[in-house]
Amino acid sequence: MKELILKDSEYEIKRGKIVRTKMMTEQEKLFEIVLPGGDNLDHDPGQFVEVSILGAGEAPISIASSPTKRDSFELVVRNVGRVTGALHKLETGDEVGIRGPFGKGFPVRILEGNDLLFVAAGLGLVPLRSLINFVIDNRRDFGKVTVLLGCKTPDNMLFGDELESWRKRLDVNLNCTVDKADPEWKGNVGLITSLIPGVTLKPKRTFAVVVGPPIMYKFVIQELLKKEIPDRQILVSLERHMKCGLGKCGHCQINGIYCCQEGPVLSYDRIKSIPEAL
Amino acid sequence: MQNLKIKTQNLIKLIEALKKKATVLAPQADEYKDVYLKAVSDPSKVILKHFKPLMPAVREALFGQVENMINFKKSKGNTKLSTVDESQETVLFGIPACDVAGIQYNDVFFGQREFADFYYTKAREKLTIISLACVTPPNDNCFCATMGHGPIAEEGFDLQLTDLGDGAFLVNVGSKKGEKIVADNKALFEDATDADSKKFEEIKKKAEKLPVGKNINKDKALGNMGREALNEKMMLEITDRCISCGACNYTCPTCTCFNVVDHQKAGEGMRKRILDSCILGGYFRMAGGHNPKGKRDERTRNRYFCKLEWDKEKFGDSGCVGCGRCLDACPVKIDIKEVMASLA
Repeated sequence: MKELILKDSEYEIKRGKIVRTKMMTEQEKLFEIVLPGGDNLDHDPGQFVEVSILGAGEAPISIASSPTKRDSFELVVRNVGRVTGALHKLETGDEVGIRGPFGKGFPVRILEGNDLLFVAAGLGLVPLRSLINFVIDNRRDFGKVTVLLGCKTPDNMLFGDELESWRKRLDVNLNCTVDKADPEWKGNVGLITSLIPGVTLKPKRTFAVVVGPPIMYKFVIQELLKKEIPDRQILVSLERHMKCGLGKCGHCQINGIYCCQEGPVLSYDRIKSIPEAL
Repeated sequence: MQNLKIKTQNLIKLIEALKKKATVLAPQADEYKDVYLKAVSDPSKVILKHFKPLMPAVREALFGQVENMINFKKSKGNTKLSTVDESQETVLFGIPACDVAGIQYNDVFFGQREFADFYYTKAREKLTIISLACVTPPNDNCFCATMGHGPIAEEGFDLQLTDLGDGAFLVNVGSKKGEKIVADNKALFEDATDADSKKFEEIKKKAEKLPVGKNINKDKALGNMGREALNEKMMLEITDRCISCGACNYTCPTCTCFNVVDHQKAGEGMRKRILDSCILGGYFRMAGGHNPKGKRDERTRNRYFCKLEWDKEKFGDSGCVGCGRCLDACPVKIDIKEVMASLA
């Protein structure tokens, strides 16, 4: 058996180095990662990487940071399975395998000049944050920005400090809701869908970007359609098990669509006739 | 190039010659008289009769049931990684036209330029295909003629042999690789006479007319493929019978889905890819527990739509080559031809 280097193959694993970790909630941990030689990951907002822990396996994880942050990138990982469980045991200084970035992210060139309505529920804020921070860093290129966030309880709210900095900006409208409040909570109580009717928007020049748990999409999209946002201007990022990231292994298929290549960001227009998609 | 001819005794000599430079996988019987593709050590043991292997030929040489991808060795502060390249010069000898078509499908699927698969491409460069046309169908489940992929292949082989029935095989040369084999072994081949070519055409005509499978109009069936056109009652009946064993996927020459798993012992191990099946309940499931196709009928449909519709959208032709192996292997005898017949 010969051994060779996988250079220039999509299966090549880069050695990422964890330079910072932070427990964000009981289940979610943030990892800041640097590539060998300080290489730029060079991703688009909304793309994902395949994270390897040799021995445990490989899992697709959304990139949480904006490409405007150049020297490192961030992942936020919920501890739910074998690979994510092994990841949670890693600390600053540890190595982690990285492949990617993969997939089609948010079409920032198309979004430019338009109003943006971000809708994120739960962990959906993680991939959306890569775009929100990109928009904030290039704020003059975009119109009105509205961010609607929802999660189960105030304890589950991710990126608390960052949310405060968004809230303080005059050019970002931020509104949060929780399913179940605690005594200190000052925001809304109720599902994410309850925030949409109160938003004023110009449907023709608004792109809605929706990311959240699978169950949420149908209900949020119904509300957005009531606001008369055109189908092709509703963008979602879908969760599938993208094992290879190369359109080969098949696990991420939404009927004829390989989610890891054509997605994970897809327009409602593209998937509305596929019952399995949402 | 003019058609050639090779006598049976010279064909055995050809295998002997090929064996010096490559592993030749050819149909041979084992001690229990089961016939399958295995490495040749004694060329006289090779069965020179058309034959449909139980597992598609693509599994034997290009995209196996289990493939090693990456070796790793972990030690404190330093993980050693190396890629596994197990590819070697291989000749697939005596495979049927449906398997040639299956490999052509895999060539497109894995070799697509944008994301050419590293492991497949390496193995493919080192593969030579010498196919053997089926003059009669290997079994009743075959329907390659219906799908337009046989019983005598038009392309995709390096050399194709057709038994002329008189102690010689007609040889079609299909590629540069094939030309080189002929040039390197000139003494073994002879020019086919007009009578030989005529005989070949007759065999071909006869083979194509054999009542293989049901009389299905492929174009009409594929054209009608769609959620609305499918016979719901039949689909429910099929789903009801399906026991989600996955045998149809594992034996299909155009099923390409795989799972990736790590095996390790004391910090040393290997990342492997293993053939997977969309019929199995956990196939689409994610770590959080969400399963976009958790119901069996959704997954049964997935297989038919994948073969008969989505492949056509992506590659211009159905992914089904008509080998009939899904029916050969199915414990409850679910027949893709029934689905197609209901549409045409």
